[in-house]
Amino acid sequence: MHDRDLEDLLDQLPAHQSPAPAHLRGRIMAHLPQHEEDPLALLRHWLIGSAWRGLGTVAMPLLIGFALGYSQITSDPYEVDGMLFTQTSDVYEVGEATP
Amino acid sequence: MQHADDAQLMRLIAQGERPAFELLLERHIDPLYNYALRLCGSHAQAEDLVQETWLTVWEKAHTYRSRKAGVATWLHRIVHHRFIDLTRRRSRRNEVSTTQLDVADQATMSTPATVEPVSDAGDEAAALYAALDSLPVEQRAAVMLRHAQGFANPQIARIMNTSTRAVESLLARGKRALRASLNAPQTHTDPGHKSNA
Repeated sequence: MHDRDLEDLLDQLPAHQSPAPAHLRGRIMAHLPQHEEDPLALLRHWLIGSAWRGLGTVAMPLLIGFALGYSQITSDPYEVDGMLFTQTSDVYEVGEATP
Repeated sequence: MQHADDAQLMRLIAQGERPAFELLLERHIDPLYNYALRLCGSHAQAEDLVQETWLTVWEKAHTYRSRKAGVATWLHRIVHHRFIDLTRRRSRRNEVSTTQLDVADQATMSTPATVEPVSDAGDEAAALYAALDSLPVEQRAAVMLRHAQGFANPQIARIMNTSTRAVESLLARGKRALRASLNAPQTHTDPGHKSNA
């Protein structure tokens, strides 16, 4: 048998498969247990949920506040020895007081 | 729900939704049963294996992570490893020492050809199934997963818990053995007449 012949034969495998017996579906469904509510799992879900909610209500506004404050600080020009500087660019911007 | 993809169904199953389970079962039971049948070599064992697999799906649906593997891959992985568990349990009962899936396992798990492929399979297909059943279980599993179930090598590696290179090697050795078996003078029995299924 040549390689190609074997490959052709193997490619026909899906077509030769038989379906699962009809009674097997019923058998599986009949053996399916009820999902039990595990109190520990519920507690764990509640704790994780609370942690995320806490993060959303406290940490996020703080983070946004810091970000806004930082951008305000870094974009405000400041004066040293009569020279005006900003930190928003690599090249210092020079105001009128600069020689 | 009919239009939900497998991953969405898994999420619903994790919440205890039986209709979602029933739908997933309907979608995947045939390929899973065929894979189990080829691993076990008997209809009764394949049915038990598939039933255990689906009960595991029901109980462990919350552990499924779609980022790691597709649902079909995950399901076949359960069948594969449940089969190894069952075989080892059986081996232990027979007082055969099996600490890992080694040569001894493979010999034990090389089931005889007791299952006919399908009623209308031709002579060539029947000969192929007989040759497949004579392969060591890991080679048989790799060939079935690749050609009958349509998985790519990385998915097969995930199912069998091995590397892609190992899968390539299993496939090459399996096909070499199949070719040799099919080229040998035909001695297999008519697969339409099972011996003990």
